[in-house]
Amino acid sequence: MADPYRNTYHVAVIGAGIGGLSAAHTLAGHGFNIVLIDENPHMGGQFLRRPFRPHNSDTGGTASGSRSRLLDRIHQDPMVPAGTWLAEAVTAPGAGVDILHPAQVLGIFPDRRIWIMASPTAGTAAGQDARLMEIKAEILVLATGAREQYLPFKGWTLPGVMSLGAAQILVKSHQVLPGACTAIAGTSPLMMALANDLLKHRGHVAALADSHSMRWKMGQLPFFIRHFPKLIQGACYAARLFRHRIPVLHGHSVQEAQGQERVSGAVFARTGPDGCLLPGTDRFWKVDSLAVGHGFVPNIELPVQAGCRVTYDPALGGWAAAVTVNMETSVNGIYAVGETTGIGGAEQSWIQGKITGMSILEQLGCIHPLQSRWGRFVKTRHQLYHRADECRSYGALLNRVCRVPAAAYGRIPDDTVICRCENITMQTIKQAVQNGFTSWSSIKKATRCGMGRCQARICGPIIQKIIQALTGTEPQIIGPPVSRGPVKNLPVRLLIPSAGNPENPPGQEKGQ
Amino acid sequence: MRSSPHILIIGGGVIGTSIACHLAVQGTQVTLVEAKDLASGSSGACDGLVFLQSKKPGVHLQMAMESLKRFRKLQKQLPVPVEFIQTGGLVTIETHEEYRAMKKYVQDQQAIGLDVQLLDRKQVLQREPGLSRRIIGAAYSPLDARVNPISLTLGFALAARKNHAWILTRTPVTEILVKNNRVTGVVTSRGTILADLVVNAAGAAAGKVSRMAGIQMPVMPRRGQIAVTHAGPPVLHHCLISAGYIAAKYNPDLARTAGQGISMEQTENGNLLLGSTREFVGFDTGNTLPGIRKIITEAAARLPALAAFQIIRTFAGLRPYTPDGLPILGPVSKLDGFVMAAGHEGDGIALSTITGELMADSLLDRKPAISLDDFSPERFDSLATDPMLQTDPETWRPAAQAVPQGRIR
Amino acid sequence: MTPQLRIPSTARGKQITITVNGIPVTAHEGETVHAALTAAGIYLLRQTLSGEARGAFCGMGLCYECLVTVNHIPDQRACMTVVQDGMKIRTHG
Repeated sequence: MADPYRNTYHVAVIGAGIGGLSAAHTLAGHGFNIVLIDENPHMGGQFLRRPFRPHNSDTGGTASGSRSRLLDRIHQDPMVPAGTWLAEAVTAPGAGVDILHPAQVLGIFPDRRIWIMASPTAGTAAGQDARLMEIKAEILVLATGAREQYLPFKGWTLPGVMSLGAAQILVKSHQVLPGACTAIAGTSPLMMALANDLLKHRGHVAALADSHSMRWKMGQLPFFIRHFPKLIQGACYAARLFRHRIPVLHGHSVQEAQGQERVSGAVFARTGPDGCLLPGTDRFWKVDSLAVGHGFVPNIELPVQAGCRVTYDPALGGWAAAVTVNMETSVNGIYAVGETTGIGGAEQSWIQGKITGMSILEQLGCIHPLQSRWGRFVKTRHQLYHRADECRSYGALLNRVCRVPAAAYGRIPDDTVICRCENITMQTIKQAVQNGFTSWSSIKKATRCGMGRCQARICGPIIQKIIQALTGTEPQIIGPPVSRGPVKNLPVRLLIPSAGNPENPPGQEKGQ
Repeated sequence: MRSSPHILIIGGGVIGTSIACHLAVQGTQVTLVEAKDLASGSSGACDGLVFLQSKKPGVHLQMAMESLKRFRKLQKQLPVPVEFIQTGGLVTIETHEEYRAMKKYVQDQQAIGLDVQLLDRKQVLQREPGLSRRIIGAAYSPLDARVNPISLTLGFALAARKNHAWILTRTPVTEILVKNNRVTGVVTSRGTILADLVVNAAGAAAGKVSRMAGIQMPVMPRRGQIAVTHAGPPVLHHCLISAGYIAAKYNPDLARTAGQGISMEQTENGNLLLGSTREFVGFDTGNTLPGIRKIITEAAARLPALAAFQIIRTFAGLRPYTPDGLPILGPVSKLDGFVMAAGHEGDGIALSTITGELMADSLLDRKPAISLDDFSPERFDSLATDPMLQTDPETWRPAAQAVPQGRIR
Repeated sequence: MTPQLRIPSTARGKQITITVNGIPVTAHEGETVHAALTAAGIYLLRQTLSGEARGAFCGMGLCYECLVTVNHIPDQRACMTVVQDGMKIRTHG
């Protein structure tokens, strides 16, 4: 836990995924005050999903079940043990990094003042003893990571329909199956990983539907030659699916999730060349959970709120924080690292974290150009730049593989819910687009989409693609989603002085 | 001379679109140019209160009453639901000083026939059980209403377009063309548009637009921050403002003791809209931590049920402030063909319908239902040497206003 | 009868008890409320104002679909809350 009396730090790192951990680790041990802030129940971000370990238990490996098999060892991502080591190193007592966790960053103000909601004991940032606090940092590192994106279908709001990430968290972090029988659909490589995890733990996978055809996927193979460890990983996954006789439907998408108060079945249908589902090809699977995901988008809400410039590039996964080679954003003193700057995988985050750490050390005057270490430092940094570029190219490939055919977004049936928070259907969106509301800010006003609790985190990328599919408008013209503080929901009770909130200075309350 | 003039309106907010709509339905040739998107300024970043009680007795209140009559019929004319509901409005009173001031205020309003009455605590709590017991009374009028300001603006625009008005968004005006002391058109990012009459409905930017034509108009941006909660169960059935709000508008002495006052409403969706600050900070539309905190604490002090809600979004709009609190409506005598329709500050939504109608009549050389003399741009001619008009709106601040520090964006 | 969704494993936190809508439910230290509810076969977590059933979706604190009442505090994200012994959960199905 962070020292509650200190609220000024040299460096504040927001997000304890691989990128944030790596930056904090590079910075640690140089005599600076560093704070690492994360809202998740467990450290390590969305990549490092480890089972909760009671105190003094042994370390190493991830959830590899009761038996460790050769197959698992071969295809294990080398970043997993590396990340585990990193997390242990940063969180170890004496590492020199204050951990503020679980804590929710609500906004960033001028002079890098961070507005935070934290509850020391409740196990969640918004628990019963939650309070608001402000931290000031000389330098900020935003490592806000990425989230999944989706192609909506009928019934995707039913309980039991979840993101691939949600299912994976259940299995890997909590060792709970998402359901007795799970169907998996989408375009993401995470589908194979999830199926594999489920099978490894004796879960039932009904079927796996990949929107891309087998032919299209084979066409992508040559590009993966540079990244052959990923190919081996994929082949191992496929082998397990084959061994368990799991039907893998290529060129199929979800037509509908059925059920009343919970998903009871999934209907998959063949996807036509223009993204529409071909009639008569539908197949029903009786399942009690359905995991879906169509690739990743960077979480840019906090950078946008802080005033950082964002750029659009499909190769980055959409809108991403614009950074220099040293990972500095357009705002002085704010750095961004990892998926926030473009989807690229855990290794990219790790390398960018190191680059960020080095740049910050330099900025803080720790590595002086006249020091003898300088020569070696520059050399390693150039090696890192080179490796970061390679990761970026893998990221671009990953984003291409995940991409849903653009036309599919224009073919979403009219009664499908697009904005889950506000219950806005495709029909409403279409009508607004016909009325000429084709920018993000105008369609939001015309339909209320993106105005709910999630603040367009789920529907934002979808609506952008719908407008693009229907009108051909470029995303740069549609515009990035706006974000203002608080970037996540803020309970009013925390601002009420009578609750004895120490954050509220006395005298705010109006006299009677 | 053409029989029907071509009228060009600058500004796609509620005032600009309302004028465009009222002109277009009469078959007039109208073009509306908007620098960004429709309702992207103050009209898209405000609450939807259509309050009569808050209007100064006199021509201001008369305008509001006429506007309200038109709101009732408006839904039939606009293609989108504008969520106009006469919820009744409460002006909450918390101190005996406020009570005395409001008593006189209510008497003035009753004298000109407004349906308004003063309630004591018990009566207030009967009407609105969720309110805090610290409230000692309230002025109540069944006439006060709310509307969805964004739908209203978009509704006006769609109705105008249906009647063949030409609406150009993302088209900033870069120059106003003047020939022989007469406006002949504007230059925009998409080229030159010639027009017989140019209407400046640019809201908070109306001062900037006037300057393009070489005219000084005392319209200054005044920021209002608003916080929005998630959509929850109904906890507030009326539109509500605090007496401090009226004081902040009309009585500087009371405003000093009572603060800026707050406004609250619960929309049809269930979101609570909490407002608002009144700050002169140039064209900065950022949200500040002190601003948001103040709104929320003050709102929660009046409506304890708010404690169970969560703030999901904040925004800020720039209200077009004028020195006397009244809008500037009508032709500018120093420049033929240049017409003002801006400066409503916080009343733009409430007065949009009547403003559109009166301006349409005035532009078409008909006698408006209410004389626009009190709103004439000429009333500020004496201000020509005022430092306010000589200063850039970005940096202008009224004498005694402290600017809060820190900013959320 | 709900199927056994907890994977037999050794690396689990201490067993604790929480109550869901007044009914005792077994959970383990370190688990999120989302995981504990899933293991208990509870998927329907809330209803929208228009009465539609919703459950956890993104699982990582972004979508606000999994809101439940935790220890009398409303609208807490089940996926971002770690269980504690004796925790009282209320769903709004």
